[in-house]
Amino acid sequence: MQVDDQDPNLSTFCQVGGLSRQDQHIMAKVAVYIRPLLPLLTDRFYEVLAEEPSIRPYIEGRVEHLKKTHVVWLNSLFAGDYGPEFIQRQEKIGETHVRVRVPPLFVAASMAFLRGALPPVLAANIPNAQDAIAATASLLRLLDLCQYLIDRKYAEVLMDNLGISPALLVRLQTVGKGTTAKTL
Amino acid sequence: MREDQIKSILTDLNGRSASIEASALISKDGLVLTSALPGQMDEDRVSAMVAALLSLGDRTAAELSCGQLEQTLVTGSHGHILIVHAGPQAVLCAIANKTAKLGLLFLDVKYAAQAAAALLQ
Ligand code: HEM
Repeated sequence: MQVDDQDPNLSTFCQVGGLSRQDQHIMAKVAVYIRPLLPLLTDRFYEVLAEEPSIRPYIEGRVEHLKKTHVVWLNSLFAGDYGPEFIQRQEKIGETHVRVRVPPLFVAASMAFLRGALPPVLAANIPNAQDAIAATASLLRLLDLCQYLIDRKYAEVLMDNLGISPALLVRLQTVGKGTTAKTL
Repeated sequence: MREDQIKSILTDLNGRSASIEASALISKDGLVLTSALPGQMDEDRVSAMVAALLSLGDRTAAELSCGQLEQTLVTGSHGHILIVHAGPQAVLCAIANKTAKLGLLFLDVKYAAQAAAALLQ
């Protein structure tokens, strides 16, 4: 993983999450088996989203367009290049979701769907079992990374609207009723 | 030393009027710098809320073209919470009961904030 030195939070995420060059290699290696299956998975994804009454209004009338962007995004997970461009892309996706007012819950739920749906596809279609296990681990790490980057945009908008600093946001998120430990 | 001086600014403020029950100096990030708050209050939590309130006041004043924020006043059935900037890095918060004369409270808190800001520079 190429991580921006100016972004200590992202470095922490990658360090603890174990994102490394290994992920790039394995994802690029297995891509050939998985890419042809991604349009089908995308269809299923939008069926699930459309079944949920609270989500439907957000996607109505633009499902075909959304499917196209979604397949491109899914393919990018298997591109084996998770450098600055990949990071910026996820941040842009976060901005777009803020612009169209998609609540964070729906992104989290969608990620949960993908975390559940993708591993069996990998297990069933990657011929080498070791590769399938390694690719699944990498994929789950990447999905978490994407969600973290998208969620960060929501946090930035919240901070901007409240006029608060990142440090104050963290304090407000962690000094709840009954929090016993002294704040660091 | 500086902490003692700030503490004495708060103690003076609390002593200036019987209506002022407590006060605290808080960083913009919501950390208590010095406080003279009643024992039962959760300092960490209250400080984060106070810093957020003032920031939100700043933002709202700017959005509504009210100019530079001077203070945020929260009034409940039992009393008032007055929050003002104390220089660029800190916030002064005073809690007063319902008997407080607001004009005097505003002045006392403003002077205390100016004194604290000078010490924090
Ligand atoms: C795994 C979660 C999701 C991913 C990875 C994802 C990905 C994307 C991408 C890549 C774009 C295009 C962004 C751009 O180019 O600026 C986009 C736009 C959009 N997404 Fe999502 N999305 C997710 C979840 C959702 C959910 C749950 C909803 C609905 C509740 C949604 C609604 C939209 C809408 C309305 C747009 C804007 C489409 C347009 O008019 O251009 N997305 N999303």
